[in-house]
Amino acid sequence: MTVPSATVVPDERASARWGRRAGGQPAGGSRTAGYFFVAFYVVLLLALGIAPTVYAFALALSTPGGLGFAHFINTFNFFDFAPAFEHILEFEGIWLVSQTILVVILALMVHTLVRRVSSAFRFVFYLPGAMAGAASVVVWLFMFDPHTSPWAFVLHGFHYRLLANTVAPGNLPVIFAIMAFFTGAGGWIVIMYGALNNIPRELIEAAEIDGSNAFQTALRIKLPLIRKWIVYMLVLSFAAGSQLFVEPQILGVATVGEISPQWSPNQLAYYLAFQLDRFNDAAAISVDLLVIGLLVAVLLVWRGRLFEVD
Amino acid sequence: MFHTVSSSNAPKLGRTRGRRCRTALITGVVLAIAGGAVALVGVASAGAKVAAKPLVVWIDTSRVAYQKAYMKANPHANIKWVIYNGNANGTGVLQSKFALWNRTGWPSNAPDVMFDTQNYDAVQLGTPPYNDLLNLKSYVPKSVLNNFAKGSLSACTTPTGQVICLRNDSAAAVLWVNPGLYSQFFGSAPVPTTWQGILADGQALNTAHPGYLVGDVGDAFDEDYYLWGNECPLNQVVGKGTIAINPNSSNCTGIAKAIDASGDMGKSLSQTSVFGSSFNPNKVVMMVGPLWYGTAVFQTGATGGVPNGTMVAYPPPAAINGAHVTGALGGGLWLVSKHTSNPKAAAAFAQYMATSPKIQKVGVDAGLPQYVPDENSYLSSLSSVFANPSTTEAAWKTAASEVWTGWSPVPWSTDAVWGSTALSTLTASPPGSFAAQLLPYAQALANQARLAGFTVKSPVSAVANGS
Amino acid sequence: MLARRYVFRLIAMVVLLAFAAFFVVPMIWLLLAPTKTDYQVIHASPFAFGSLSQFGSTFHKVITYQGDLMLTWLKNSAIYAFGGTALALLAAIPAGYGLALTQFIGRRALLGITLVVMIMPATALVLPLFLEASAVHLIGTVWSVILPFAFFPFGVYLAYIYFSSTIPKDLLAAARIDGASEWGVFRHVALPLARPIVALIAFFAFVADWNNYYLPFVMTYDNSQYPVTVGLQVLISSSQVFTPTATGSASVEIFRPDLAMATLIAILPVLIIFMFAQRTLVTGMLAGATKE
Repeated sequence: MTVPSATVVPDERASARWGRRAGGQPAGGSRTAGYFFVAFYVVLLLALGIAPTVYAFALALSTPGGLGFAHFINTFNFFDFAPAFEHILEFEGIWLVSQTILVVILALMVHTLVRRVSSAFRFVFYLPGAMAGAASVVVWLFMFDPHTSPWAFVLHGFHYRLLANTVAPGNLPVIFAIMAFFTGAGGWIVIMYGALNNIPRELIEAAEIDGSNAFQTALRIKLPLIRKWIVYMLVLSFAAGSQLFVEPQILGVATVGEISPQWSPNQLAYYLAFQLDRFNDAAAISVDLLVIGLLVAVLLVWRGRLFEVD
Repeated sequence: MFHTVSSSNAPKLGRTRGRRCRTALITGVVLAIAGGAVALVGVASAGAKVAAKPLVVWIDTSRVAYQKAYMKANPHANIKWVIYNGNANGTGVLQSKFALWNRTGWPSNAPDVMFDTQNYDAVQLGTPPYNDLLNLKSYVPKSVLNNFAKGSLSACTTPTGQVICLRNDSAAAVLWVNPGLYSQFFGSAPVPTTWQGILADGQALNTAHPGYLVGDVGDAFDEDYYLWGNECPLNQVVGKGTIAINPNSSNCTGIAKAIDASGDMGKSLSQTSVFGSSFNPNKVVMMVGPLWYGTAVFQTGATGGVPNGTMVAYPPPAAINGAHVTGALGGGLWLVSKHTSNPKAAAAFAQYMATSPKIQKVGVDAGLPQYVPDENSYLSSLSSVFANPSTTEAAWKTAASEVWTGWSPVPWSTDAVWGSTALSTLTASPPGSFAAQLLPYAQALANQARLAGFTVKSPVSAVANGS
Repeated sequence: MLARRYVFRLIAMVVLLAFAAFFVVPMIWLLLAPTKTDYQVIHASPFAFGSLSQFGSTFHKVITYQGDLMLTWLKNSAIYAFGGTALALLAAIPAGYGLALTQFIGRRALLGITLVVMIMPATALVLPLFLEASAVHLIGTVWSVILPFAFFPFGVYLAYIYFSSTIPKDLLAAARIDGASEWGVFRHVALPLARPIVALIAFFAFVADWNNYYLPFVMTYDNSQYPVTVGLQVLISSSQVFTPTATGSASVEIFRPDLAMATLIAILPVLIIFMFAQRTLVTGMLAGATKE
């Protein structure tokens, strides 16, 4: 049995919220008891985490002539393959950069307010998180249609008079970034705010005594202390963003095909499987996406040292 | 070790012994979990078993009127009606469900009969790798089949001669005219009979009466009139699995250049989709569109629409090359599943729906019945809706017989491709060139064709070889 | 100096109000749209209020759409989300306890794998899960949705953090000396202290399950099985507004106010939970990565 060489003490304040941490190594009852407690979860992990992963790899690698990369090469040569990944990269670029900047700025600003006002803002920011997915697409359909949108004056500023103008192919990455920001940013602002609250008050007061203004304090003291959270947000968002499906899918339905049904890689995989009955090719694209997700996760867990693995 | 289903000739049921062994363990585990928690609620649809299994029929919203008429005529019929989206453009509901069921086995509540608004679906769903539609030739009497309008069953006939659907209605494009507005602006001049004539009238309106319309370039269906209706060969199946695409044909460039030269786009050719939120049917002087625009788009009698007795249909304009042809949009098919437990009843039901005057005459929002004996009762039901019923009826009959057959039913949506390649340019202000859309559209169609396993023939190398 | 501080405050307030508008305007629009007719939604001001009676009739129309389809979808969403959440709790609480407070071979490896699958977006597994579920004939049953929902590694990690930071080992040791069995220790010592973490995991699992679209979209195949998220897409594609070929009698046609109403109904359960759970969210997400 591997005995952890050093027990990492988690964030004191987070622990404090839940009471005192009992130091020392996890010790206790017999091994069989441990197996018993994790058994159900392990079964689920094997059946619903590991098995489908293995299955996807197997399907993607199996060709009429045995194991091979034919399906990967096949899909790679599809006319929609490269564009689908380009779309995602463009979307992620716009979304991650703007979300990072805005979330940090808004969290810092909210943090300067008195408690009651700041909690009102945080509430307003995070409420749209309740409508993640299909619901937000319906709402944004109307927000992007100059005829129904409260933001019509903005859309008119871009000379958009029709929904078709707003959701023109070149705008889609921005549009999906706005949707993702709408539902996701509030949660992150709330988290950043929590992280900012964890900064010891003395540290900030000391800076202020040294003559640092609010802006300088934010930049020099607060920002470096929440850097870890920013990385956490970036990585999780990147992983989630690579899987974009519901937004282009529903928007495509609602605009009678103005958005290609193969816009994102996940859509392409879905199209191959369910419109063309090509499950092995679909599995190959799923594997591509899985590998991206896995790489990001492994990188974050083992290199980022963000998580407590005792 | 694993079976592949990627090639189009592969058998549909991908489960093999190998995979079964591989997943036996998983099965056990999953089933154990499932069994261990049976206290939880059951499947939503696993209702009590009824004595006789009802016929499961999927229809779209527009066909609810049919449902009511059917149940009125047959109050005791054992039918489970399910409303779905009619397999609307780009959603591929039937494709995805069929693909799924072909892997998992067909459930007992799978539809026996379906109404499908996509004319290309029958060919795709009725041939490999799907091959899921019943051959109606063995169930529907020949005399009945012969009564369908000439050519109307072509989208329902497979290369091997099976009849895999029944055509419900024709959605041929006619020229819709508001005679009041027309005589106000053009006096006693005859209504145009050519595309050139329509575009010229548009030019006159652009300056003299801005805001009034002679057509539309604002939605994904415009190519159905401008290109299909001008014999533009961008979608012509010329042999098994082979499609010919020629964006350089003068039939295509002729109409495209005429539209560009007229300067009508964004003026008398609306950039707002006729289905868009701000489209105002009261501004339509004339417009090429399918039969059902008469009620559905101009919303005769409804709030924001034109009053009943306003619109009249004229025969579709002659193509730019002089041919008397037209395009089409919509109309529907009755499909019967090959996996139905009661093929006889299912086929009889589909036949009844497509041919009974009791059903067909209520389809005011649908097109002209393709079962010819029903045409008159259908037309008589519309006499109060249109200004000049006899002209309208004659125009509909003409249009239904003029639909160009060179625009083939294919397993991808030409509308959706038009929407994603050309629409944003044509709806921009100022609009881009229509003619410039032909090549990218052709390339995108060719890509869809290749994705579906077709061979593309084209004199244009960028289309033939991909880019 | 002081002036500059006020300028900064002013700028901050303007920016915050602008973004508050960005987040709140769509919600307000969503509340107002069902009070209007379709014509009013297009032609009246986006912030105009229609009438309560219109709101009522829109509600009635949506609820009675195709019989009781909306209620069926809501019921399905509830079955999937409650079922998935219940099983997720059943797995995560003991597993978190086992990982935090017992010793066994492979504990660290299990923890590592849990973290990886927790970060990996669940969507990536949907298609493979479909293929697996179809191989074991679960497609079209509630289990094809509930079981993938039950697998919730984030919950396991939260439970692990909670148990390892709140329960003193001495307490467990004392209980064992008193002769309690391993199960007894868990049942009588750990479980009574676990109420906050149960609520936290339930919150995250329920919200994720309720809002999930892709998994049930792939796993279920007809109206009677869809959850409300997929139902919303059905409504969009049945709406004449977005699917021109879908026209019909007014009673079954779906217009903009109806879509807004359906959306409102669809998000209501989660919205209510959100209103009362802001603190929970912060605690949970902060615990998601706690190493300083």
